[in-house]
Amino acid sequence: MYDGSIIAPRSRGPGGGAATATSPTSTSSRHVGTSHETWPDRYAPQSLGDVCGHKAQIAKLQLWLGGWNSNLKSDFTRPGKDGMGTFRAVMISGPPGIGKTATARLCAAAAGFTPVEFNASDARSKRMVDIQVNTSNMALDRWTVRAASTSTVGVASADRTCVIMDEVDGMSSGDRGGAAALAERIRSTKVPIICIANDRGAQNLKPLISASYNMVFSRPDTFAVRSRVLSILYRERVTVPVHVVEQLIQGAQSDVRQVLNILQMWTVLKHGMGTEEGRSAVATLERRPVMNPFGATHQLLGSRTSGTSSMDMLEADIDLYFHDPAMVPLFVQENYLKTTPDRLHAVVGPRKVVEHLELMDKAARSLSDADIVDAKIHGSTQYWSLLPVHAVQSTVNPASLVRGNGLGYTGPTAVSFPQWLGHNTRQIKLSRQLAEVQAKMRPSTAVDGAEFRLWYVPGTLPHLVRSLVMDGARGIDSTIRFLEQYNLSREDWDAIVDVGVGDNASAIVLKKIPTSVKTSFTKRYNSRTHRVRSRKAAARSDLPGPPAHDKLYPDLEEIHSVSVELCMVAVGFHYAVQSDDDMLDDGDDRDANTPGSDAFILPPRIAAVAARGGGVRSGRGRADRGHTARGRVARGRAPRRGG
Amino acid sequence: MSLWVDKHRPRSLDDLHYHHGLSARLKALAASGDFPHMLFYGPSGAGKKTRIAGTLLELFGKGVEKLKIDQRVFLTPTKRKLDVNIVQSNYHIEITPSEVGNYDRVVIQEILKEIAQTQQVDLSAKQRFKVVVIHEADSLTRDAQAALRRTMEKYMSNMRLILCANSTSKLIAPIRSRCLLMRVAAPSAEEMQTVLDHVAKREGFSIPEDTVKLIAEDANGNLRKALLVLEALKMQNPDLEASALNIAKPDWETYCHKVADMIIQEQSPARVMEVRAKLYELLSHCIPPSIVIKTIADKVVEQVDEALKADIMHWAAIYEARMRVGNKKIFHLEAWVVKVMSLYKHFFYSFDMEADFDDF
Repeated sequence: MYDGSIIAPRSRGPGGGAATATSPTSTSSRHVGTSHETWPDRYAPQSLGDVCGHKAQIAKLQLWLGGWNSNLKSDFTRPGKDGMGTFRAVMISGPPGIGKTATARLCAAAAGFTPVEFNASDARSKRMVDIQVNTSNMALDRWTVRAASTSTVGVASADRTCVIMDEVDGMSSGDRGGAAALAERIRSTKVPIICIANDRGAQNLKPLISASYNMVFSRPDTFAVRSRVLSILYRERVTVPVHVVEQLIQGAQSDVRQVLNILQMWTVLKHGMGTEEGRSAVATLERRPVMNPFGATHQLLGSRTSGTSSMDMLEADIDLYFHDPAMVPLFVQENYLKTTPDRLHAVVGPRKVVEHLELMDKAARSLSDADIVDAKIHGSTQYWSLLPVHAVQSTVNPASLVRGNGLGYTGPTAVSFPQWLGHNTRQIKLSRQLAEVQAKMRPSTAVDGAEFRLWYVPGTLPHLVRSLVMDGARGIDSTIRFLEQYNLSREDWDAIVDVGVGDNASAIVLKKIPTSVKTSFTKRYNSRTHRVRSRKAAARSDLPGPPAHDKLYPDLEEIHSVSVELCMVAVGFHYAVQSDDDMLDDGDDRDANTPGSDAFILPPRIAAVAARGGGVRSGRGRADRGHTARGRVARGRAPRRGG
Repeated sequence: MSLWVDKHRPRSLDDLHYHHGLSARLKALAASGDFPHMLFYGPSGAGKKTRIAGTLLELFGKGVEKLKIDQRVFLTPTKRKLDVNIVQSNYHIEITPSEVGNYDRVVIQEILKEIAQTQQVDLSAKQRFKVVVIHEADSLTRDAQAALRRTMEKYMSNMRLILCANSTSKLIAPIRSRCLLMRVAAPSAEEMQTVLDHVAKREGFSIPEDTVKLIAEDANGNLRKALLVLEALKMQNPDLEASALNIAKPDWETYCHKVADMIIQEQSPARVMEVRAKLYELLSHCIPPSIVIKTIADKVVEQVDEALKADIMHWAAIYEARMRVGNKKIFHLEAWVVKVMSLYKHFFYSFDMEADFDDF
């Protein structure tokens, strides 16, 4: 763990660890400051005895590795006395800097394996895992380099390898399928695999967890680390008081690597570290917990006993905003009305009511200001430098006005999740649906945008709903006729009903129509074929793709004089919408064997049958048409090239 | 079966019932052989699109009525996919770039270039150019408008633009100066009455005089609204007697009025939150925020003391303007609601307001 990605452990061969651990003479004789090696590297554990803590885990790991061959023979059916015998891999998890990698490497070496290490700096996609992680062979070094105990690249060779997959939770988006591929590998591996991760709960580790034995490394206690650190300090001839070292270890939460880094940094500047310096060093280590927006909102809007200066409060509040600049303002806006402002505590009677409204007014105006600033930040201008202004306007200022008691954790005044997000999504969805309906109706109407919603939707609703409500099943036909008139589909009916508010709200309207009428409406609509003028853009891109020789395909969009129908046939488009009869500009382009003007949309199922070569509409006819269409496209193209 | 407003829409410029001078001018332009870029503007329901359709018919003949709808996918520089609905005939193409909000520039550039770089293939076409109709031109972003400028000059030989907008105020001056401006004013009450009578005659009934007046008045210059109202009324109440007539308000208007009543009834934080829920409901169901604030403000003003009216409208105007600049409309709507409540309570207890007009 202490060195980066060098594969080779320093020990030479299985028994080498003990020999080197006796005295790292080379390092202790070096003078401080002349070496460029960092302490964590220089004093990386050379033997299992150097590792701080983890005695039980090391023993287990050694036992497992030692029993590997017999387990392999029994095909991993015998659990053994600690139950690890059935596993082909071990997953080590634990916080950083406590010696996971070092332990794995040393254990492997001690048990006579050659550790082969992959870490996050290697690509670990599915393919790479498959290719690189050779889990069935023995180490090749043994065969190629013969007698020599180290290979050309410095990898100590034993006759067996052990794969160490370091930082497996770092398998990110670039390593797609890596974890799954690795899990697959584990199920059939003939060499032991040790996976190392920080966070066992990570989502992408799921496949690995089930395939491997889980071994948790917890932080070693201060004493275990202290002796090691003190011995290192002694070798470096630096004097640091014991209590300072303890303080550091506690501050770093037993992260040995970090403790050594800090100590080295301090000794480069001065020779030693005092109590005060230790404390300030620990302060820099403190990890700030990221607060969730709920907590931040509670702090912002909750009552505060004064005492801190207003300047400090401003900074603290801005910090709260930066815990989540996207969410905290929304939370403040959602919840700022739920408090009883502290500022009102001395006021009574009507004046209190009025002043409360005044505070709300100021807060609301500040939120309105903030939104304008936000538009500058997220709009086309991208003034990110305005973020602190946004912090003050959206969060600090409103909070300072209405801050007070009242905000609960449950009940009606609990901090609630911003509704804005849900409503915004809904608005986007509905307006997209509406735009689609409007576009379909466009050939027969002359209306767009807001006017459509404001006047047409209430205007069409009686035709779409009234007859279904009043006449029940008898009204279905007239409703469908109305839809057809406007090129609308059954889904568009839903879309129009969906945008109603108040008495026209979809819930109310739909309740008025009996369920039986609704289902038979849907059934009857689907049972017929309808003329459709529009087609979805998605249909074009989802095509299986034109035949390779059909070079004419890309020109599809530019040729306006070719009817949509023929173009689509040309690209082998079987079931999408075919254009309306009256849109064909000249009739002679249609072959005699086309079934005329049946501009219908075929239901996908029938189309699929047709595509498979069964013949709802004969495949041959289609091919013929396709042929002529191509010819037509070619003709259509010629003048453009010329001119 | 289609709505009367669509069924009886005049197809050609000759069939129009009002603005005859304008029709004559459009006809002359279409016949002249040279045709400028045009900008049709005027309030909704005045007949802009009907006149555009008539002009296109005059230009190209029956072919423009064969419309097809196409959904096209555009790719933004950030690889986001945009779906745009396009209505086109062989001679013209209609787009509503505002559908895609901030990305309208991409759509404008792509479509215009594509059209402009291809010549009319149909040799029998009456005109050598194609027409691009841009709807809701006043909601084009600045970027999109800037993208229009150069294309309008560069591709004049292949393409003409017809812009359709409610007002010219949101169009940049260079665009306005490149277009022939055509104002389509709202019809007067008398003109609307003739149209209503004409439609009634075609449908085979007649409307009592009072009723016609009532509908025309209620529609306030929006002929589309008038015709839709007429049809709704006829469905509810076949004899259309003015005395028994109750012009039903559309769903959103009733809802807005409810909100206005809520504001007047109680002024408290809890009430603001209730109002907020209602506002969310309106906005998420595609009611434009400026319509919401206007309708509510009108209704609130009706019910308050004379002294408050000016203030309430003043703040409505301010927050409406901020709404257009900002992203999250509800923030500004709510700020206005709180302001109105505060003003109302102040007046109720007759305290002096600390904040004045000068605050802004």
